[in-house]
Amino acid sequence: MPELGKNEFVTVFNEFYKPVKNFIYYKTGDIELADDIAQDVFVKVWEKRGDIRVETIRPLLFTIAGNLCKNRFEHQQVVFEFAGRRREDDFPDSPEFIYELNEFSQKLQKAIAALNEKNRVVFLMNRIDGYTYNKIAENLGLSVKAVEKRMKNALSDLKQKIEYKL
Amino acid sequence: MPDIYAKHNFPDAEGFRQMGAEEKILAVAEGFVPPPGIPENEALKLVWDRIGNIPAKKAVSLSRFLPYAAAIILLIGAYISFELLSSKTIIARNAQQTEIVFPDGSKASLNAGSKIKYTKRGFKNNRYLKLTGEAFFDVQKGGRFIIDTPAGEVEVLGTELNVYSRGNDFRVSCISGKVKVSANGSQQIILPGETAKLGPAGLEKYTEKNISHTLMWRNGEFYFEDQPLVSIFGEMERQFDVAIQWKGLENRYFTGSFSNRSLEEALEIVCIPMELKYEIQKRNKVIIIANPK
Repeated sequence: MPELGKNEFVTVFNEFYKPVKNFIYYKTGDIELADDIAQDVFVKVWEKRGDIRVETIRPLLFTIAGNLCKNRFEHQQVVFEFAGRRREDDFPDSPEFIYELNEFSQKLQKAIAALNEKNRVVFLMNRIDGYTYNKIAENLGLSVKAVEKRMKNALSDLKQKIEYKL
Repeated sequence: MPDIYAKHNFPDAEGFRQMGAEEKILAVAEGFVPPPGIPENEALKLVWDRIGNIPAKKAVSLSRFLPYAAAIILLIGAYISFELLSSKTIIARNAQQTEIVFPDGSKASLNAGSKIKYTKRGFKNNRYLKLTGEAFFDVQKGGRFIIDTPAGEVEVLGTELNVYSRGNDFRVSCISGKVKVSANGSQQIILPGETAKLGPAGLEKYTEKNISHTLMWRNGEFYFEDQPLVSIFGEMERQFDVAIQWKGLENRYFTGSFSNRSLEEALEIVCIPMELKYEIQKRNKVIIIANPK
């Protein structure tokens, strides 16, 4: 049973700090809180390193994060401030298209904020962190079926909101 | 706001306009980037700083075995008394939960720090028992089944129910069937999903939002909705067999749940959101500090 030494800890940190922080952001919409809680998670993991097996650390990180969120965050209206990635393209887009995209993206952010939290987390983990359904299931301790269902719910909910508003 | 929401393979204007709503959602969301927050290497530094300041391991780990030892001794004790005596007292000490099967086949789960007393002889004809603390009952169909507690009396025919009676706090929740509760001269009949609670004006009836919360204790999870902090620490004392000291928390309320797996985790779950600090000391003593600086 490999124990969590300093080197392994740093490896785990490098791999998971960002997705854990993102996970908290998806839940709370508060990036400062996300940084705070994500650090708490890793401090806790270090404290408990004697009881932790490296193989099970992935679901553990998200469980701890989820629990800490539950207690630190009061469910107010969530607001997101996603930035867009820059287009790597030689052909600049027309101002009209940029405007159209901005418009769409604003609507989408609002619709995402209004999603059920569970569906939202799965949707964003898949889209932003690029996790497969399998990995999301592993992270959150869910079945792949459940992840698929949440993703489907998120999509149909978003679609409905966006089409209605358009 | 950023100017463009796209990755390298994001379509141009023409392509975008031809996409369906679902495709658009997927493509645009894929380009979203959460706000940066603290850079990762700085976060790692902060984490190391905090790890460097963790106090030496607390002395609570030894007490992990105490509940098991207590459970074994208690089981032996319960067995002997079962064989010898007809009048039986079943106790679930702190940090322990116990299951009971009565002579009529009815069952009870006893939460930590609770006691049930009944007479074995003739129990089938006269189903009467005394309870202090909290227990879940699965009562076999038959005649009257009476649960007597210091705060009030519960009468059922055949049903599942949870009874909580500690000090002045008296609550009975009906899971299935029909339950009659009486206390202080007032009476209520409750149906599945309902709880009768003893208040200043006698028993009040209300519908639980989620009745399963009432029974979470049987799985080692303790759920509180807007309960006085003091009673949450009381439950922790019973679950972990510790003495918890506090001051000035009388008018504070907490919503949330803790598990009886780890005392530290349970304390954190309550203390962090309530902005309290805790110290675990020797001899299973915990001190809660309000307004930590």
